Amino acid sequence: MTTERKYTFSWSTIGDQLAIARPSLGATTRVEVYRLLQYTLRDILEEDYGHQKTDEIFRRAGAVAGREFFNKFCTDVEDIPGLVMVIENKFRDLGMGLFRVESINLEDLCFTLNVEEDLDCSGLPDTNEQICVYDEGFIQGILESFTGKKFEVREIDCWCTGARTCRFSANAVG
Amino acid sequence: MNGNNRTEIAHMVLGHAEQLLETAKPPQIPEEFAEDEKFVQFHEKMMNLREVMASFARGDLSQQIALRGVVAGFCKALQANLRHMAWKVQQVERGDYAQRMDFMGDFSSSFNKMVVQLETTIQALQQKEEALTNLAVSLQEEVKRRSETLQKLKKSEAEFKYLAQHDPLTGVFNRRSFFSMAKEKLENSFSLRKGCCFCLLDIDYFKVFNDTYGHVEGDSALKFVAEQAQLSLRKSDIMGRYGGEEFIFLFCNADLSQGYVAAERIRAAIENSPLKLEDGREVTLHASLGVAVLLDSWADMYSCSELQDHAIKLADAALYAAKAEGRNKVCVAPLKNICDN
Repeated sequence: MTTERKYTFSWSTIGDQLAIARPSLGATTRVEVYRLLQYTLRDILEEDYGHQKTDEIFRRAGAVAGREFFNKFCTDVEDIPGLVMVIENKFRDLGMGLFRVESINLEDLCFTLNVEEDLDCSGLPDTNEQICVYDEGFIQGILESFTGKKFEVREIDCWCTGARTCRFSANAVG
Repeated sequence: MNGNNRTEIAHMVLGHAEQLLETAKPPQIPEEFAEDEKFVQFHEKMMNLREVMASFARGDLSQQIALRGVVAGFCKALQANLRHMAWKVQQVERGDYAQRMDFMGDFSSSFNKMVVQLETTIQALQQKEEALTNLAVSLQEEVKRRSETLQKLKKSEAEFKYLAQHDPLTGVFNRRSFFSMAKEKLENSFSLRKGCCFCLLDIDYFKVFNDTYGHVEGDSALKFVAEQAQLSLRKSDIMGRYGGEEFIFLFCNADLSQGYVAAERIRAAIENSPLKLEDGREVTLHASLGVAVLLDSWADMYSCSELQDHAIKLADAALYAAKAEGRNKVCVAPLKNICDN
């Protein structure tokens, strides 16, 4: 596989002058546009690489996003409750979803988390597929950045499997 | 199947569904449908839903919801919200009053108000506690300050009392305290049927000493004599300054010979311990003493002050005799009753 790169992600590459660049439309767009991008991208990736490889790519991308999210918004937090509060507020402010904690076991570093009104899947048809792999990676990226440990995050309920909320289990591994 | 049969079957199925929703005891699958896979699946889904709702009603949020579909999804959302709410409450319990909720309708609004009120109340309590702590510290400081003042006052009182009772130069009892003390001691000795001796001491040639060495050394001589005499006393004896270079003693529970021995011990102590002057020279002082006895049997006939006056007169005469006989000497007064005066 070629390692030729156009860029690696940084916040500056996605533009930080939106007030000047989009004086009329501002910093937000509609969910359909975001989903249009994600699911057309997914369509092509699946076509070229298949379903499993695509999931893996989305999960890895989510993990990069989670790490960047942590580095931008969460570096001042000192403990898990503080981290949860920042994530909760930022998810809401950025319109990403309603992030909630169901349980945290600090001894084993096991979390049960959920995101309601999820940006990726809320309102999608019931396909019997757990679809939020990007979110799995996103949560993984945040938790790994905060704890310094490897995490495995899996979606256990999804809007697309008939649940009204997306629920994730996150466990430290290794 | 005719129309009547279809209606009858539909009513049986609906009746079973109603029982699943409404009755406390879950219904058995009717025999007619026991082999019908679809019916059995529906029955099991409804039973599962009943169990989930029952566990929620008990407050058990750990139930795994295996069902799919909209109703199950709402149950899962409710479960997730309730668990998140429990987590929020735990954070508040740990002292994080920044927690807020914006779901679950009225409950969220009440929760948020409660947390704000809790934080306000706790802040008020903390302020009160701080104020009380400050007050306690101030109080402790005030108590300490008062205690120190009281100590100083007591010390001052003790000093005044001492000055009121003692001769400021020699430290022995002044005349008034000596006689007040002597009265008590006399009464005590007489009650024990014991006699006592009074003794007068006069430093020999004290005027000459003063003229030779000056009044400062004269004061030193008085202090020195008082010290030597006090060192020679028994515990029960008392000593006072009688005036000028004269001292008075009461030897308790002592007859005339014991009184003589006590006086002689004082005289010898003065003679045998030279006084060191400021310039380093040493001078030997002498004293003359007169001793008189009071018999306990007289206590029945005379008052203490009468006996005291009598004894002092006799001791004074004995002192005069000691001076007359060449000084540096103890003379005892002959036993003489008051009525013999």
